[in-house]
Amino acid sequence: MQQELEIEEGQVFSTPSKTLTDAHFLFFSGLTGDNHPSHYDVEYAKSTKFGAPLAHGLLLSGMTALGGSDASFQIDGFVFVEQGSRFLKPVIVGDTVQTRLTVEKIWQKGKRRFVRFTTSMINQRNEVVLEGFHLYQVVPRG
Amino acid sequence: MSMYWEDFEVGRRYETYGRTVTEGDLSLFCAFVGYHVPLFIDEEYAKRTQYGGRIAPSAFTMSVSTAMTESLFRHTVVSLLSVEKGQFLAPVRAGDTICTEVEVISKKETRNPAKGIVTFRDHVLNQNAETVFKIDKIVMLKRRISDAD
Repeated sequence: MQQELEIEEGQVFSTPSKTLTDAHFLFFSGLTGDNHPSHYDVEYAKSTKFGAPLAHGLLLSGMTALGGSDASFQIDGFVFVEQGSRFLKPVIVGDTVQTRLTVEKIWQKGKRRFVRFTTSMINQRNEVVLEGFHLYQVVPRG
Repeated sequence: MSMYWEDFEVGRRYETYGRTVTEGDLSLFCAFVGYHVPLFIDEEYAKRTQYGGRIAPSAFTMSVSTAMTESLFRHTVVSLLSVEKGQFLAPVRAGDTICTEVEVISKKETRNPAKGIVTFRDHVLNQNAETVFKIDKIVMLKRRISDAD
């Protein structure tokens, strides 16, 4: 018997909208060791075309986490197997970002079932700063 | 320096230190406890509320202010018995400097001569001397005899 999924194609989920601060950048560098000056050094950043320290791409990818969205209680058995992100606009400290995850496709391949989401992160000006996808395999309990 | 039960005078206010609240403090706190309340984490949302911007969670102010008082009884505190009458009177924001004054409301002996109970009222003030938070804490403290040789 196949487990009934609690989501369907076309459904949209959102993460909490969050204003990024220096502290968030610091958590990320503490965890990953990525302390490249483009993320922390204000003077260095002034010499780049962006003018201000940029959020790490992988920090932004992390902020597309499905478990951090309001889908959190409907994804029992979902195992993350692949993801991708395109970074379309710079994100700096003080920007407010939010991710929408849309159920793009649910399908079966042999005995395996998969769910693919598209991800889209917007900033406070409604600009899309990240576009990508997540792929999950649904692994039944027991 | 830690004070024993005997050392606290009813009616007196004991000052502690001040601390400037930073954006980092609030990000860390919200991340640590798992708060995703827009008023605390989303500046764009908070701008449109009556507060005009992000404010600190009340639990942040409670945690920081109680920690400010610890030096008064660092080595003499036995237990916190209860907290009562907590009142959040004004918002706290990143950039505010808060300090805590500890008023002694009452004292009570216990059956155990080595311990006594004190009711403290913590007054938390900001840089404009506005009271932002007030709470009573009922605390069991050591008496001098407990550490006498």
